[in-house]
Amino acid sequence: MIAPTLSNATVTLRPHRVEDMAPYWAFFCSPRAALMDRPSSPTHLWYGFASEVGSWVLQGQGGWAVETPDGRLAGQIAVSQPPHFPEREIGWFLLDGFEGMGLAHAAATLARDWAFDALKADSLVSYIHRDNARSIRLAERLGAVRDDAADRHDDADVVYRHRRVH
Amino acid sequence: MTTEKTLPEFYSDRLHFRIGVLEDLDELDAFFSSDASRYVGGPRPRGETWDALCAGVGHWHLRGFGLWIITSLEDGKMVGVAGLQQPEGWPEPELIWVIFSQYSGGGYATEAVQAIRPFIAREYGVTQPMSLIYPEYRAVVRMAEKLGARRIEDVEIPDGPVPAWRFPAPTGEPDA
Repeated sequence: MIAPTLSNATVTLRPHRVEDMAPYWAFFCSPRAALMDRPSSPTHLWYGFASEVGSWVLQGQGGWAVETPDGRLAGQIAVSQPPHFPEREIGWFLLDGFEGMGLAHAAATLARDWAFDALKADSLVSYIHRDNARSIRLAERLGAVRDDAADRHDDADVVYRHRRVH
Repeated sequence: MTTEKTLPEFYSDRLHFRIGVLEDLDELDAFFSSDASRYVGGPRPRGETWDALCAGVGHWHLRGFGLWIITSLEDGKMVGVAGLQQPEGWPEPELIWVIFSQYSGGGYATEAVQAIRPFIAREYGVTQPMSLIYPEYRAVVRMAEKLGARRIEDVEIPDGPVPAWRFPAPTGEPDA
C-alpha cells in the first residue's frame, strides 16, 4: 500500500515524492535539526526517506509529506516502529518558515487519529529530545502525557504517550 | 510514482528475484551486521538494515525501479540483494549486487548480474548501467570486468566522486 491522503482545513498529508527529499536535506543541515537523529549525507537521508515510503508496503504505516492547503511542502510526519523503537511512534518536523501556523498540530492530529482508527493502535508515543521544547509543547497540546517509565532507545529522549481523543 | 502497482519478480536458473518483505530482516541483518559487509555499507546496526529493507521497497514506488531480494530456488534461503538504485541527486541509476559470503564462489553474483542486465534494459531502458565499486574490492572488480564492465570516470554523487565501472549493453540488446 501507499500512504493514504488525509486532510483538514489546515493541512494535507500525502504520499512522498522524490522531490520532497532535497528540502528535507536542507532542513537536516540547518541548526533547527540539531536535536534530531541527523543523516550523515544526502544518500544516508535517502535510505531513511525511501524507508518511510516502503514501510507502508511492509508495515501498513510510514511517512507522509505535510503540505499547506495551497500545496507547498511544509514538513514530514510519520507513524512508524523500526526495530529499535520499543513502541509505535508518531514523529514530525516542519521545514523552515512553516512554524507558528498550526501545521504541526493539525498534521499530528490527523496522523494520530488515523493511527488509532485505521491501525487500531493500542499504544502510540512520541520520542522527543528532552531539550526540544517546541516539540514537547506540541505533544502536550495534543493531550499526550509524559511517561517517564516508558522504555526508550535514546536516553536523551523523553517519552510522551498519546491518547485516543474521539 | 505513487500509484498502486504489481512489482516485478523473475527467475534465473538457480535464483528467484523478488520484492522484499518484513520477514527478510533476520537474514539481511545476519549479513549486514557482519564484517563481510564492509565493502557494501556495513557492518551496521539492525535498525539501519531495517531502513535499507524498507527503502529497497520504497524505491520502487518513488522511481518505478528498485532492488530485489535474491533467494535460492533450491531451498528458499536468501542469497543476496541486487537491482537498480538511484538515490536523490545521483546522475543515473546504479546496478548493485551483494551476494552473502556463505554463497561466494558459487557463481551466484555472475548469474544474478547476467539475469538482471537484460531485464533492466528491456523494462527500464537501462542498457549500460554503471556500478560504484571500491577498487580495493578486487574480487568484485574482477567479476565486473569479466562481464565486460570497464572503469569510467568517477561518478559524482552528492556525497562526492566515487569510483565507477560501466557495463556494455547486454548481448542481443541494441547499443544505447
